[in-house]
Amino acid sequence: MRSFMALLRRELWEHVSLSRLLPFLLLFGFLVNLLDSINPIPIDNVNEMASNSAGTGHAAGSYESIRLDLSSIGGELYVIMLILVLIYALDALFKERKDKSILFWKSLPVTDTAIVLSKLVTAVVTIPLIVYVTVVALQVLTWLMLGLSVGDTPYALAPLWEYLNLPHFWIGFFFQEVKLMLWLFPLVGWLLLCSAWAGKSPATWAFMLPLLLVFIDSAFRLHTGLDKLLFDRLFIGVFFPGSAGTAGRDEVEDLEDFMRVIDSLMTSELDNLMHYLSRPDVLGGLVVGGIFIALAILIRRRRGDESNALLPIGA
Amino acid sequence: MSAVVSAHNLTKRYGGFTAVDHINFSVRPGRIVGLVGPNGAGKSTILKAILGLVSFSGELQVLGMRPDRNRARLMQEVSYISDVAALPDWIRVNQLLQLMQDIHPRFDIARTRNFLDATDIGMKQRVSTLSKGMKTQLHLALVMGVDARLLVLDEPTLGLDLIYRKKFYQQLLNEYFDEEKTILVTTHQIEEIEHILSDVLFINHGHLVLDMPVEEIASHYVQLRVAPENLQAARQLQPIHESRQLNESVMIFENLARERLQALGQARTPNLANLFVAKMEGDVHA
Repeated sequence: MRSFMALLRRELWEHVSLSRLLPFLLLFGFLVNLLDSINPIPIDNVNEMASNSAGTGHAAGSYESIRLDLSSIGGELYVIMLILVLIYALDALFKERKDKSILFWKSLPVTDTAIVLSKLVTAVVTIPLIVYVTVVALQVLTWLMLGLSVGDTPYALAPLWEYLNLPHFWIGFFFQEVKLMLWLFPLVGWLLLCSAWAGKSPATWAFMLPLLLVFIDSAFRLHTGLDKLLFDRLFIGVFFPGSAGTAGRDEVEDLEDFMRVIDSLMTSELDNLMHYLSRPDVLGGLVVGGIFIALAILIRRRRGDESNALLPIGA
Repeated sequence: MSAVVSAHNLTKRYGGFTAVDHINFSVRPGRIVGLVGPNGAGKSTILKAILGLVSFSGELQVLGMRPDRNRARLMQEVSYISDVAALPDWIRVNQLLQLMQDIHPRFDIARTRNFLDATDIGMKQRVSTLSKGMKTQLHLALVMGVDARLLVLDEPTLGLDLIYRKKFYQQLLNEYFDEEKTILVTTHQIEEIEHILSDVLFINHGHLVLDMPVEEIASHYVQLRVAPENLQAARQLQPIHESRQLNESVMIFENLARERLQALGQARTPNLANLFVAKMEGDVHA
């Protein structure tokens, strides 16, 4: 266990931008909030919000504005997380071969399974966790700065806290992240497999091969459903993990619908997650992802011998 | 005492190409063994097999384990330096030490720190900022910290200047090696390591052409600087190699009595570099 934790720490050392994400975004959030505080919310609006759910008139506008601000922090970092996970997974097992350090890592008493799993855990646990902490910290910072900027009184913090209901958002966001990682598991597995396999460009394998298969499917009218499978997996399921692929996607027509969907996602609970886990498309994805990971382990086991003619050298 | 490495019919094929062809050898504990051969001879493949990095056919035991099935376990007792490029560039020296301490059950961080204290390497430096020589020193420092029974070196001084090359082997001998440790080193610059070797394995085209303790070479091989008038007589004794040096013929003989040859010219024991050339050029597999 100690060595596995050391391997996870190694990933943070190597990808130093991950550990710098939190302070960087906190600084960014601080500056944005500082600019926002030039036009503070009137204290009357805050009091109105406190006494009447969303308030009325200007108060209602302020309320929605703050809520949207805080939701957008989650939404923006959600997208950043996706990008980070995909880039990381694509590079994770390739870089060590590119810089030849694989020979050093192979000289340590660590199994290939532990190495690959440490990269998997970094992709599906560590990065989302960092993003989660960053979202929470940014929202707390925004709440603090918004509250302190109201008129000349610090007493707006409590009603704002009550209104924003941040813990509710955090629980929802946490489960949304868990669902997303379960949903993306086969994709992460595929990227790790390409990263372990590709001789020169993992991205070419990762993206061109599925595109080629879709093209063949379309050109020869094979109707395998691969295009829909990939579309659902990569787009629908990513942004609506609670209702991946089917229900809900057509209902998002305006901002109100979007907020409703977001609200429903945010209120996800554990039994909801268990229900999600029992879905055939989620379970199937986990199995496929597991197969990809197992293949990545097998391929890495044979790495360090780059003259092996059975593996692509110039691919 | 049982062999640290023992190979029987060790074979490695890449498709239709045979890199290592049914070779047999063993490495005894407490020895420094040079695995020497020209580029492409198969020496790195043998090392990779020993380190569990490649699959193979035949039998190969390293410290009683089959390396391709027990690599992680084996690496607790085997250290390996490939070349200076193997250390990850992004890591800091102190991170590397911390990582080794957390991962390697036989790593003594204090020993490595002591070794590094005598160098110009800073603990907070990134590997990418170190010179080639410093990287080798750092890798050697890591190896010094590991209580390993077998150290495998694959062209460890490749690309280093003469000063660092000499320093590397001096430190290896003075600060690392003892009778409980075994070192297996590959190089094609044999003159650089011949003074430290206790055994040599010459390999060419995947075949072993010599497997012998260094102290036995004198009793098997004689280098003869032949007097011009004895040239024909010397050639009749079938030298394994003949070359011209400053208008004189120099021949190397195998398993011939030194006393018999001394009558034909100036006889001495060939150095490993000359013996290597003789064996390579006379190799029937070439």
